[in-house]
Amino acid sequence: MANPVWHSLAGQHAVIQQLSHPETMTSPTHAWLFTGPPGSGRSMAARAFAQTLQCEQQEISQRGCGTCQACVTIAAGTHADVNIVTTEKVQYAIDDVRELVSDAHDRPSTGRWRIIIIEDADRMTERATNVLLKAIEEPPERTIWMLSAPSPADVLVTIRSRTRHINLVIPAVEDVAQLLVGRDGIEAELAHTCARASQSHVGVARWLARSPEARERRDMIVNLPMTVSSASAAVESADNLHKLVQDEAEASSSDRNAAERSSLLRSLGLTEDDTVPPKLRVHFRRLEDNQTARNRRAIHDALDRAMIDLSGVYRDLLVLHLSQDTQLINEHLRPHLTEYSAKVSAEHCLSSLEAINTARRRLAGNVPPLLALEAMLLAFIPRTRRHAPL
Amino acid sequence: MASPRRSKNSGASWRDVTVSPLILVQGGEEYIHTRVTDSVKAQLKKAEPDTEIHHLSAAEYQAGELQVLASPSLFGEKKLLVFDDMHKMTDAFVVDGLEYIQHENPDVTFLGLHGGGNRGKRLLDALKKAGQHIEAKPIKSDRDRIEFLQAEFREARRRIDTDALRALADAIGQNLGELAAAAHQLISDTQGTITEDTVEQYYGGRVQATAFKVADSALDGQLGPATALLRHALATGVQPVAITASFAMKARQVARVVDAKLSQGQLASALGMAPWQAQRIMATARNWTPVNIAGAIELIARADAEAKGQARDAAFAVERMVTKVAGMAGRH
Repeated sequence: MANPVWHSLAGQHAVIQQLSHPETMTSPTHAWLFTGPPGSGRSMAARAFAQTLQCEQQEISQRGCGTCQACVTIAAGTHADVNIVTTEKVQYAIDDVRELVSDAHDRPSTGRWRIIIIEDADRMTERATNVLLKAIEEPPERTIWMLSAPSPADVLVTIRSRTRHINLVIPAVEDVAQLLVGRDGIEAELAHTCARASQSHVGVARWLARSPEARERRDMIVNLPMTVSSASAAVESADNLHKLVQDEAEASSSDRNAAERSSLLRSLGLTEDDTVPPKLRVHFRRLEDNQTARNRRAIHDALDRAMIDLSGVYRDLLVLHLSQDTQLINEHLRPHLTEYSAKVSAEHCLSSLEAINTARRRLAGNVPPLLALEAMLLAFIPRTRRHAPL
Repeated sequence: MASPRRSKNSGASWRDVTVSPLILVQGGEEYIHTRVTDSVKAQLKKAEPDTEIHHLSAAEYQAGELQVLASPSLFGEKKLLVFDDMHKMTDAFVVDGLEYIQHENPDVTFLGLHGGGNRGKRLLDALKKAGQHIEAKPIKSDRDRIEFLQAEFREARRRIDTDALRALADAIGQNLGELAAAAHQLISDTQGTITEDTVEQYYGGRVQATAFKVADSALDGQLGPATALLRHALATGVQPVAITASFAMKARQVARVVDAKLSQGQLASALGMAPWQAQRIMATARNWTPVNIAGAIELIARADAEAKGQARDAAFAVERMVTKVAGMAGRH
């Protein structure tokens, strides 16, 4: 049985075994690359590994206890020798990366190692990554880098060759459900539904299980292919979906934005009612720019999520065309889906999947989300019904 | 305006600005600001070549600057103080400005440029009362533009036919600076009366084309005019992405009505537009079937992605979209 810090990593037995090997613990490699599909627990794995390396237990086999000072502070992201770097924007800024390089040269203060965890290393531009090259190749004696990315191909080949690669697998639905039941106290049947609906993405599964509104929103999205039957309905649904995503991003950020603004006001010695003097406006502009960038990322992520859910629906429809006994992603909608699959051809499902892919590519290319969604939803209308009389 | 002697504080025309200690130009037309500044500068330099000129921004004004600059100098040279951005003036500027009006220095010309709005109303009112006030309202209507051109030619003592004026205004469009530049080119390059033929020779074939006009004619199925408008729009600096954006908007509206079973009144409220706009969209939608408009939106989305970097030639991508969309309209 693995030590406590590994418990929240669902279905990654091989990885846990490799990382908690005594030899790895005593003389770890200086740079690691954690890869795996989103939601498989890349950053969890990196943190847990950092915990086992820094754990205060004497006995090597006991390290990763989850209760000592080091383990607790790493879990909270406040350990003095463990920098956890993440971005809420679409991309890392090069200046943030430069700062890391100088941090890497500090000696550890309380722990055994200085550990720098970079989440979503794929969000680094090539220019930013190049800043890291030298630091990763020959870090100071007690510094360890941990990078995470969806796949090894997402980081530069020069980075890949300087790191030891740890690949996380897609966890089984069963494992994710068990984690939800055990850790978050979710009821078993709901946990299964959510684990399947999220396609084994642990974070999303937990979010769905905990929030009835999120489930409702998801159901609305997966029902779209079955409800869109005319051009006007498709355009209207695209508008609704776009608004839904925007509201979601807005709701999650508005409180935080206001709090950030008032804290900035306070640190500049102003009260809420003061007009900001022109000389200080630059600070507020910078804050607003940051918030806009964050908001863009939130919309981007929410749209991406919606696209994944939609491709899940067409995957299910294809499954129903090809065989009857494979598990569906949207098992809870099986009757609906079976009924609908009789009306559409497998070819239509494939072309719809292609439309979803095209829409994702377009979003990445900065096409207005509304336009990309309209083109996608119009492609969902089954051929026979598209010829409906005016 | 009929009386030959204008009272000092009326909204005088910017063309006959004269040097006086206090001048206020108010309004959003920046080109007029530039012209007034140039004219005042030229008049001062003519009278006194050593005039000192200071250009300052009222938006970054700090207390006391005005009094320092406007204080009498040892040799009594003339000075011109130009204050830009008065519509963003600081509070200190209002205070110092009001103070200065009380004790103006006759050797100094104070020229304030206010971009419109009401900021610093107290100071504006005081300036209007004490000095020359010049309106610089943005020129919007066609009639005003033609009047502007007429005055340009009159100032240069040149004759131009009415038809020629209209042709010139149509060809150049909204921007006052561009209108003036075109007028000055005709004035310096030609001799005698300017006729429509002269304008045709210089600016023939130029048409004002906006992205919306291109979208309107393409979705109405007018292939030829749409292509011509597109070429004009691209040639006069309309960005390809602006064209795909206006196509997307128009096609969205058409798709909303193409197979919706709503009355015209319901439609107008569902689309959030005025009844006449809804009617216009309904007329366009008659050219379209649901299948065709779906195809058109797909083409527009593709062209938008291409114009934003997925293709090497944005102009080509947009032109292909325009011809295909215009070709699809009206095909049932």
